[in-house]
Amino acid sequence: MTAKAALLAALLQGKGFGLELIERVHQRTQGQLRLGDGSVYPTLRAMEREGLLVSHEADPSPERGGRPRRYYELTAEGMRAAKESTKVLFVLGRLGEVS
Amino acid sequence: MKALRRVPKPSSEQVVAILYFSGLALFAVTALIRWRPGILAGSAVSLFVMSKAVDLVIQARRLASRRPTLQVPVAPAPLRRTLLLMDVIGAVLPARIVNEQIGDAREQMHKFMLEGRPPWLICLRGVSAVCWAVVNTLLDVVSRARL
Repeated sequence: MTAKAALLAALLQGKGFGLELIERVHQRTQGQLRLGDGSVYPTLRAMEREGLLVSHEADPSPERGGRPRRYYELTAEGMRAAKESTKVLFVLGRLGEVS
Repeated sequence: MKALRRVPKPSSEQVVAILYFSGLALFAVTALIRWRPGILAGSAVSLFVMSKAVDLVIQARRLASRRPTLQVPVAPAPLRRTLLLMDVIGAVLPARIVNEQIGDAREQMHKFMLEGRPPWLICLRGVSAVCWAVVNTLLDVVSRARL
């Protein structure tokens, strides 16, 4: 599973920021997949450039050292890509079970 | 009688900066009148560099005057150093990467602290976030240069 597919699947649950998305993927895969800083943020930026996501900054918070969170949300195109990739993963999973 | 408003006395650094900027501006105006494009360009570049330097000093002062946000009764020295490193690196790297990556790391460090995780682990999280922020900045610059 690529970081892109994992993030798309995580964003299907709703908008989220980097750290939240990492935790969402970790929980959804029951601890089997842990995305790192090195892959998550560049992937999110690349997906935004591709038009799959849109992002906005929230208010700064003290526990972040006065820095704002950046929330990501799927666009219509992103939603399509996410559903497609989830479908492919589901089919691959079923194939694995059969074999 | 109207009370006179007290004008705060400028610091020695402010006086030096004002003198430097006015000197440069005078130099640029003279070069413009006598039409010396080389000197004019040089003055413009110096003005630009100086204004950026002043911006950096203002940012650094603002950062230094900010109250510490991670409230711990006695913060261990390595943790304080890690937070300082994050702030220093954060002042240099692009705002978007810093807000996102360093901000997320700070939030997670705060959570680790509340959970009572060992300080070395919290420091490691901070240092790794700084390293990745630098790497991702370089990758971002390279990918933009390619486009």
